[in-house]
Amino acid sequence: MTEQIPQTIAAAASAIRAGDLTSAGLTSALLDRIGQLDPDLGAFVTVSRERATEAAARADAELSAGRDRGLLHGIPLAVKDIISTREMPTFGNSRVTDQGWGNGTDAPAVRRLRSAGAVVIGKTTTNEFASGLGDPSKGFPEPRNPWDSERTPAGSSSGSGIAVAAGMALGALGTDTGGSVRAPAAAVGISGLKPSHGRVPKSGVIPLGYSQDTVGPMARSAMDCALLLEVLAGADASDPSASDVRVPRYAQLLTGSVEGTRVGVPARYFFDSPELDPQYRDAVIAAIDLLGDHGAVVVDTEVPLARESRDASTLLWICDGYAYHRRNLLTRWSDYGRPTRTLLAQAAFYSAADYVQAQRVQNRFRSELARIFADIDVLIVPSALGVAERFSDMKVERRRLGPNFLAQWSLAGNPVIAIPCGFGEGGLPCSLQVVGPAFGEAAVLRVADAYQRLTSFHLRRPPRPSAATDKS
Amino acid sequence: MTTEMTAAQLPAALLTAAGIEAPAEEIAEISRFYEALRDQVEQLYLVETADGGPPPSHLHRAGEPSLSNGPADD
Repeated sequence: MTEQIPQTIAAAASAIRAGDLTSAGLTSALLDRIGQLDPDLGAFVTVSRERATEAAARADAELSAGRDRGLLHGIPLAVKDIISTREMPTFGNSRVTDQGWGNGTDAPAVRRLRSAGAVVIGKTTTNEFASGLGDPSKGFPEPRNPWDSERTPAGSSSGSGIAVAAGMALGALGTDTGGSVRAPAAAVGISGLKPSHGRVPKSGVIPLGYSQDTVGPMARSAMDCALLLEVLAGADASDPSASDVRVPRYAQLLTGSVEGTRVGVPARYFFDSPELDPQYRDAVIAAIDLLGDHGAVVVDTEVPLARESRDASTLLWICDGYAYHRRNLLTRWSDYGRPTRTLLAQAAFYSAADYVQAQRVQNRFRSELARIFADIDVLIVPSALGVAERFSDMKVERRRLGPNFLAQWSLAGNPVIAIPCGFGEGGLPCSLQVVGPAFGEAAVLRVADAYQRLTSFHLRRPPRPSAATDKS
Repeated sequence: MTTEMTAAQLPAALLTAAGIEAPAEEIAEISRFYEALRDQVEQLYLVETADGGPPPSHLHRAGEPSLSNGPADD
């Protein structure tokens, strides 16, 4: 059977309200697609077919009875497997996790999605505890890039990225400590938002780096990320770091206009790194030029401490992660995947002074960004050095020591979205990041949405068997 | 009596002190990253921070008193 599945949450919401689609039909079609594609893509650890089908039927019944919970009502979504869900276990892609972790409860982020009517269809693969790389010997699915199965989908929110890119979910939750929403979003050609630190409660999530952990939406478009964020955001008593800064109706603020928007472009480090693939860089520059053609004011900008802020971010989350996992590392070393244990154990070498100095750099970098954002609305930088790597070419040294355009914004706690901006080597997606001031998600989403109204890169889908097709 | 430790032995000793028992090849892997990252960490101490006082690098500038040798004579 061929199912007509809308590409975006916004389109599906319209179709449901127009009577052209039911949540049950949509959920069934996506579950079928998961059955068809996921054995090769490794996006899901757990699929909740029965519960999702029941939830979709309830959503339809509510709508029929006149109860509309909003635009997420009846929309099938996936959840990264380090976020607790009441009906599915949380493994964190690890043999170390207690079987009862999460105690059968929903994390606040998941609870909010369900309250808004969303249907949770499954838990998605992650690097172990959102760090390191996968370890095939541990028996979890091996995620693969839907554009080229010999290439990495990046991580750590690998499965959430794959699920959206391959059309197995209309949106997903990821987590981002040093780039774990944005790296996979970039690698598979979707939109992924890292909100400001504290914008979305992170209780019910297995911690990695306490001081930088965030929960963020992954979806095909910036508009869909906005729809998800306005449900996810806001204070929660269970998370002392969750902010009570007012939550705007983000989607209503996406005007499609960048007229007069000041876009900062920091050439040094972010565009002049010799490791940056020229084709990838050109795609980002072409996007900036397009925004300039439509009224944005493009400003040369200097972002100081780009390298140091990246290194401080890494040091902090490795030490945070080591603190959380230390007792288990001492007693269950071999239960951890090798990439995870050798990464986290590096923290044993850092001194307390090193950690404090990284925090001092964090304070300085935040001050620098606040100064920069007094003059501009957003920054635009590449999401990566190039398109998704082949598994056979991946070098841990290059990843740890080479330039990186993701971690700076994690250290500062600023909001940033990665969106597709073209295609490079091997027909793989290129991606740019739009960075905003703290709690400036509205500006970030507005610029990203405006760009996506001018282009269609975000709607391009990886090739797949013809049995599952889309309508635009 | 003190036992001198070479720089190459330090990472393994630190892991042992932390209570981590890892195979030798993994200790070697962790040590390689440690050595590569150490330079990056040292760069963090050269950043002039905004929380008051001189940057830490000033404390060890050649020709100036070093706190590691105690306070200079007045």
